[in-house]
Amino acid sequence: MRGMTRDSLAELFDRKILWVFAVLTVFAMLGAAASRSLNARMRSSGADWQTVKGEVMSIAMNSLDAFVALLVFLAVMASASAVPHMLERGRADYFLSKPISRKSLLLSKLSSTWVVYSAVVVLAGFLVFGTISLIHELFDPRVFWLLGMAAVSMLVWLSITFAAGIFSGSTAMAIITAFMTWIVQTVLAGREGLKMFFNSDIADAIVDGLYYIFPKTSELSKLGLALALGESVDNWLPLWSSLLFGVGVMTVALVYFTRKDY
Amino acid sequence: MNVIEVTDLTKIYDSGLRKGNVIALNKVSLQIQAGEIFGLLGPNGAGKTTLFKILLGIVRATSGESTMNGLPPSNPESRAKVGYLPENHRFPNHLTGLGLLESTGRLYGIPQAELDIRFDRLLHLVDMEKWADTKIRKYSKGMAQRIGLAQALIADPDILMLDEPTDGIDPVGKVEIREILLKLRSMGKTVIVNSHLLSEVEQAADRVAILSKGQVVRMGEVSELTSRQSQFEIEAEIGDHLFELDEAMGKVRLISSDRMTVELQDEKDINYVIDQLRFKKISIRSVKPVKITLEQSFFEAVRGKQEPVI
Repeated sequence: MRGMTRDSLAELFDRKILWVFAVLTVFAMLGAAASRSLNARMRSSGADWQTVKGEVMSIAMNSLDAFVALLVFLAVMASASAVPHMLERGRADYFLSKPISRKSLLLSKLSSTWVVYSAVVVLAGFLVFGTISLIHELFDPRVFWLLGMAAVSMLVWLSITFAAGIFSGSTAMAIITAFMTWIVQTVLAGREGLKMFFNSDIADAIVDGLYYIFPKTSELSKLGLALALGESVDNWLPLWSSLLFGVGVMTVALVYFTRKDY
Repeated sequence: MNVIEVTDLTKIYDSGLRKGNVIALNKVSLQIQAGEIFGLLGPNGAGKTTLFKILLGIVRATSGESTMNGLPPSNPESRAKVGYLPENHRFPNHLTGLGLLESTGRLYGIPQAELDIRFDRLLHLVDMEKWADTKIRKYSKGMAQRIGLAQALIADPDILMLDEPTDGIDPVGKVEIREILLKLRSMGKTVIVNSHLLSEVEQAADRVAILSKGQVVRMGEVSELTSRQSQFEIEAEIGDHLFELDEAMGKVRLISSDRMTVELQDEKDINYVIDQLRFKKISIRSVKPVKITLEQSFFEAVRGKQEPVI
């Protein structure tokens, strides 16, 4: 990646974003530590250890899922400026004059940003889960399903903000595009209600089509949670359709990027 | 050997429906040889930076061809041994000076061990050793230019492209940069300087191209551009001697009793002038071509006194 990972890490330190993640993680760890009395209370109610363990794990995973979702959101917002920043006047010349193809440059930037932020999110999530594990004397390696899905979700969001950054050259537009995509995917998640509202075969086809095209990161999160809790999963559509969407927008963005004058 | 070849290069920017098209470069052709310092001059908007950007693959040409080291700009390898200092650069300001060199070196794919050897030499060359660990955002304009020059040299380039390299640099720094350029030439490097500072270019460049409105209006060695090939200044004991030429041959202008200028239609006729002076037994002390500054040549060129050479 031609040193871009180190560069992204240096930028993360410089912009003090890392401190935000660190502070949130410490608070989450303190919250986890404060849950010490939870299993004692549950056991005092007469529940057996397996039931208590199951309940605590469920609460822990759901809490961790919400915490990781917050970190992914912050990471996406924080990295929305990566491409507009790289391509602003005077800086684009610096990057584009190097003996590296534009495709490699952009993919290196995307992958390095993803690696750095994913590592931060996974580490933060693992620290919080590690605290829970220590407090409640339980550990389940399936937590990595949850953290892994969060990393995949972040890759999809980064693809969207990177593509928007390339087309618009604006951080604000990259953030707005991410928000708009999130709103559309949330609306499409409740597509049955939409179909009832329109009550038309054509509308049904359009809504279904959009549902399959758009990413489904909320459902991806649920998928990760289910896997972390050891539940069986039959529908992998959220995973591959989200990834396909990310690949699709990045492909279009790459074609545009390789042809644009700077 | 030509390291840069540009043939009929044209760039037309589409400025939108209302403003129409802007012709930044219009059938520009030039060749730059290995080991020379080539000055690219022209007023703002002449197309100098666009030419740099096309060569570097930052902007795509509308038509025409260009190569660097025999490779087209679409091939990233064409930039493998090229260093570039952009005008109004904004290097990633979360980096220190040393960090910029390291980051740039990695973009060129240079191994860390090799980079470690080059850092000290380059920082010393641009006199930035003291500020190597300071963030770029804290640099003055001159310091940013110096570190920019160092990053342009990190890959030990064969071709160095500098867009306004002395911008923001104090007079001492300008002299130092000129010395660096001359040193690089002595090392066999090709240096292309895009500058508004004509006196700087005049002192350092071997050849110069003057661009105006996207066209090369004058190109040649600095000595060619600063001499009026058909004008000579003659120092001689003219005294009261009357000295005239046929109108077809040229004009004589007496400046004083011992100095005159002759403007000839054909510079070879200077021999005839000398013969005539000798015939009149006028003692000749010197005959030299009339020199102008590059600035004068530049203004003549951009004000349209000379037709484009393309």
